[in-house]
Amino acid sequence: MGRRVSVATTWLQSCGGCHIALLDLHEELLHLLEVMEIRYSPLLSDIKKVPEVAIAFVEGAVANADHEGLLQEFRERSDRLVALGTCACFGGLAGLRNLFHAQDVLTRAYVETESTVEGKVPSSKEVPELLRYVKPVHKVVEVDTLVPGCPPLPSMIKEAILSLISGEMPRLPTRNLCEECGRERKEMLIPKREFITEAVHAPFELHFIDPRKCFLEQGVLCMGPATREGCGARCLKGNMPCRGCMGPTPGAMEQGAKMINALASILPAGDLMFREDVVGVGYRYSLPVSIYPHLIHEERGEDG
Amino acid sequence: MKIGLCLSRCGGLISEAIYLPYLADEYGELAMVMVYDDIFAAQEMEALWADVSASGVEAVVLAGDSPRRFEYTRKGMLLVERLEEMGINFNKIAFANLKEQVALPHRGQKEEATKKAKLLIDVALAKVECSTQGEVVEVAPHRSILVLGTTLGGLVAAQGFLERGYHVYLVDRASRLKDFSPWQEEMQALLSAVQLHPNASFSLGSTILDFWGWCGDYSVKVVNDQGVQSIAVGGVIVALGDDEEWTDQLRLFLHIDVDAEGFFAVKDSRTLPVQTIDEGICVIPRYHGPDGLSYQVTRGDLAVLALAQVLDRPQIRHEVRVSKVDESLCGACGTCVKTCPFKACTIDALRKVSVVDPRRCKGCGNCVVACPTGARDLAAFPNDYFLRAIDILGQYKPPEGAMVLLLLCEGCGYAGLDFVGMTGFTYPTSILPLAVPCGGRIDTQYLLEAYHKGFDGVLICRCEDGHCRNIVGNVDLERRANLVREVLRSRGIDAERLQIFSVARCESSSCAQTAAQFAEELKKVKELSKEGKAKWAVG
Repeated sequence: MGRRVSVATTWLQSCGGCHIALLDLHEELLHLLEVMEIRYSPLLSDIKKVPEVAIAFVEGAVANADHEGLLQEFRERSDRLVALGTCACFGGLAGLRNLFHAQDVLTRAYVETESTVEGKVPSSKEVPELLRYVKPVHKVVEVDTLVPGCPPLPSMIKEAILSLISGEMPRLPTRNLCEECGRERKEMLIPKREFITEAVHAPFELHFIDPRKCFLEQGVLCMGPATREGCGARCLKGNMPCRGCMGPTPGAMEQGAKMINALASILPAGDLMFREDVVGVGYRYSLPVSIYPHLIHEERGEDG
Repeated sequence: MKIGLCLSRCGGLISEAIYLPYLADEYGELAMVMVYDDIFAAQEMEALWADVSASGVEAVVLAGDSPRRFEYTRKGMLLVERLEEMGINFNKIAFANLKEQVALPHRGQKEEATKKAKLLIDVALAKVECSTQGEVVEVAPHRSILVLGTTLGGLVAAQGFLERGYHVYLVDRASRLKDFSPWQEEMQALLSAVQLHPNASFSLGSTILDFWGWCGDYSVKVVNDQGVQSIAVGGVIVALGDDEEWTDQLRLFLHIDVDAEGFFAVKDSRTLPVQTIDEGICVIPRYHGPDGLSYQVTRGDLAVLALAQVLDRPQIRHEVRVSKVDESLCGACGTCVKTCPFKACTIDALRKVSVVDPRRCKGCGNCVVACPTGARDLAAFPNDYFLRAIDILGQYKPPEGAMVLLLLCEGCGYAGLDFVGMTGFTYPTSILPLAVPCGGRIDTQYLLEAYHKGFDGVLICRCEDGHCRNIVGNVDLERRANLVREVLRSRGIDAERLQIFSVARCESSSCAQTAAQFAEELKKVKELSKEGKAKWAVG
């Protein structure tokens, strides 16, 4: 066996799902281990000090002081740093807390939850301080490449590892999801001023969803048009609309605004859930990388 | 890129209100900075051409008069056309409106006016820097004319073109020729001459199914009980008279403005009495004054004169407005196809990417905004330009008052704000204008960006219902704005900071009045919030 490339992985504010995606490579992982050596990973080792490695994978968003420190350590000790998964790339679901004050988040979690009795916010110095805003990895350190997805496809992780080992940068696809999704589009291809449907539905409201037909043409809000391809359209194959976990395409500044732009001629989005939950639909995974990445506070100079 | 800046004193109007020598100094780094007394005067114009030629610049910013002075007056484009002949691409010529939108409305505030003028010049510089070289297509014009409406004026025009050897298609939705009473006696022979002419084809009881193309080369699909007919014409005479219903139907095909009552409008009733924003289409406006006969006859003749001047050229130049589709981004979702009211977008079935038909595209930019991946752009109004313009204008530090970004549609509000300046009305310098080709070109991303860059409010001026020259730009704008307000609310920003109002294309001071009022309201709320009496989320 030749010299293997050293790899470290870690997770910050995350669910661990991206590491599970790595494990989902199953037997292929064994082949990968012939060319790479995992020196540090919360999955399999309990090493305290981060070793010097060629490639580092970081899962999760940066949400507390500890994350910042660990991330900086990772950056210093690695040649290439990969933001693994949607939270690391765009802030992800965890980033939704940016719409609240950090203090309110703590109070809600430790005091106000319905099952809590006489709770109090932990104040020990041992507990890392919650950052005011959740940030994607690239807002803290330089990132060499992104592997988005919630979680990324195991094959995407594998391809990223293989190309980095061969000294090349993994190349992300750049188009939106529609061509990859492959559902049939008819109404979308007819220049017509009327909306495609009269109302917009949540998938659960429909008795039948045609698995071959574009979701938008069935009156279901699908974020596919404003979302980067490359995920294999997993959700759509499972007959569920895209929720946008792959983030915006490189041509867009943000997903939410771009979807609003597109919907003007497609669906009566003004009177539906988009309106009631504009963040949950348009910014579910990418709020921390949107033009307004957080709540604007009333006192000047306090945001940022 | 070597850029030249041509500053016009506008006969003293600008030099009175703005420190022009200071401005000229500020741009000393450019390849050419020249100050002229009035660039519309023959000698000065000649000097400008000579200066541009000698300096070898590839882009020119004309700072002084409103771009409307060039586009909406007789031979106003002479200066620009010559620059193009000298090899400067049409997308590399930009205007900074220092007269109508700075000097006139901010008289007596020389310091602030100068600061604002500099920002407007910076925006124009950004425009020539960000715009891509526009492609030019040349067509040999068809020797045929479409006359819409067999009204008196339409028949006069038809006869004029028949005499000149053109084939004339006369189309009317009425199934019988109109009665010309009370002028039957005067006009009967004319009607017969047209009817009997071998090069005249009448198509009565007809509906226009489709119409596209550009000056010199239009394609028309007409249907009546004889069947569907496809014709190719070089120019169009629109002589609908009072037919409101037909006007509404044709508005979906003809890319020309309508007047306050919703009838097709000419560029300027005094200096360009039949010309429209489409060079190949002339309008004979309806008329209710005394001596209707003489009016219709002269307008008919004028239309022939005006259109023949254009069509007699061996070649007609066309500027392709939309730039190429970025195929690396396009996933063929079809949003552009669904959005475009002119049916200019299609999905190429083999290559699975969107393609634009330049003969159908009007350059409104609605597809650019709608494209959820950013695969589209306008050559003359690119995305990068708007972001830079918002950034530049956001740098203004007003002495007092609230910062308002005033987005002006070229079809309505831009003229409105010019009119305000010309009529002596003033408004705060902190109202910063930015022209957009259409309300449909206003991307939700720009609105968010504007607050992000420190604007207190964004005010959008849009065409009145049913008056958008791009048919749906104003409707789509409203739909997007309704959702954007939700985004603002979600971030704790007062949604009242985004306002839209509609304005008629023609002269009205409502544009600046609304803006000034809005700025005043924003200022009040801002001050109250400092005292803790109102909620104000700062950007």
